[in-house]
Amino acid sequence: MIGLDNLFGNFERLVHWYVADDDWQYVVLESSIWEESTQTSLTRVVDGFAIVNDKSPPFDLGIVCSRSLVCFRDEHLGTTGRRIWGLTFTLYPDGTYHIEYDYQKPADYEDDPDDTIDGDEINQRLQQLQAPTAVMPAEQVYQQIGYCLLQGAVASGQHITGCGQLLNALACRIRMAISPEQAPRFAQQNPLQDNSLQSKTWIYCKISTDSLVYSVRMRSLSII
Amino acid sequence: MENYLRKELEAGKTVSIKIDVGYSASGGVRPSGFGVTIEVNGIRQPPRYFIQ
Repeated sequence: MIGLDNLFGNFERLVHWYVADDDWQYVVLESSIWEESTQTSLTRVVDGFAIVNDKSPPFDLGIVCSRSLVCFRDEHLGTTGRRIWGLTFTLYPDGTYHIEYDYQKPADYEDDPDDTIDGDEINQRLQQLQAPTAVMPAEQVYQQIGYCLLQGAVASGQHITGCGQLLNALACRIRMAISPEQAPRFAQQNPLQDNSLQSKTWIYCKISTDSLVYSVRMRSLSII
Repeated sequence: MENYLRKELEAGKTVSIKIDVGYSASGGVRPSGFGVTIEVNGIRQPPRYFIQ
C-alpha cells in the first residue's frame, strides 16, 4: 500500500527527530484521526521509563505526518471498507515496527455539520474586519485578525467555528482588511522584509482575555 | 476542539492556544495547513494539525 509506505517513512522521520541522539528502547506514536485533522502523542521509552510529549515536532514535519495519516485513512477505507479513527505505531531501533488500528469512533466526536459555518456567516465575520479610514499599523491589522479569530474559535456563544476554516477564510481575504488604494501606502509605511507585504515575514499576534491567550503566527500575505 | 476548550474555560482553567499557519512551497495566499497547540493550566498537549 502506497499510503502505508508513505506513512511509515514520515513516522520514521518523526521518530528520529524525536529521539535525536538519545538511547531508546522503542517509541510509540498514538494518533487520533478526525475528518481533516490529526493529533499524535509521542512516547519514547528509555531504560524502562516512558517520556511523553516532552517536545513538539517542527511544524513542517508535523503537517506532513498529518497528511500521511489522512491519506492512509482514506486508502485503508477504500481497500477494507473500514474507517480507522486512530492508530498506534511502535518503532524499535532495529527498524521493526508494529501498527494497531483503532476502529472505534470517539464518543466525543463532533460530526462536521456541527463544526462548520456557511459562507454567509464567514462573510459576516469578515465584515468585522473594518476597513481602516487611515493607514493602520501592521500590528493593528493583525490584532484585528486575532480578534476575529478569537470571536470565531472560542465557543462563547451560539457560533462554534472551526479554527481552520476561519483562518483559511481570513487568509484568503485578508486584503479586505485594507482598502486597495491604501495598500501601497500601508506597505510603504509598515515595511516588513523587502519593504513589501509579499515578504515571508512571520507575524505574531497575541490576544488575551481574562483567561485565554491566543498566539497567532501568520505569514504576511500579498496584497494586490 | 472548541467545545473542549469551552468546557475547560468554564471549569475555570487557564487555556492558551498557539496557532501556526503553513503555506505550500509553491506559494500562494491559501494556507496549506494549521497547527494548533493547546495548553491547559500550563500543560501542553500534542499539536493538532488541520490540513486544507
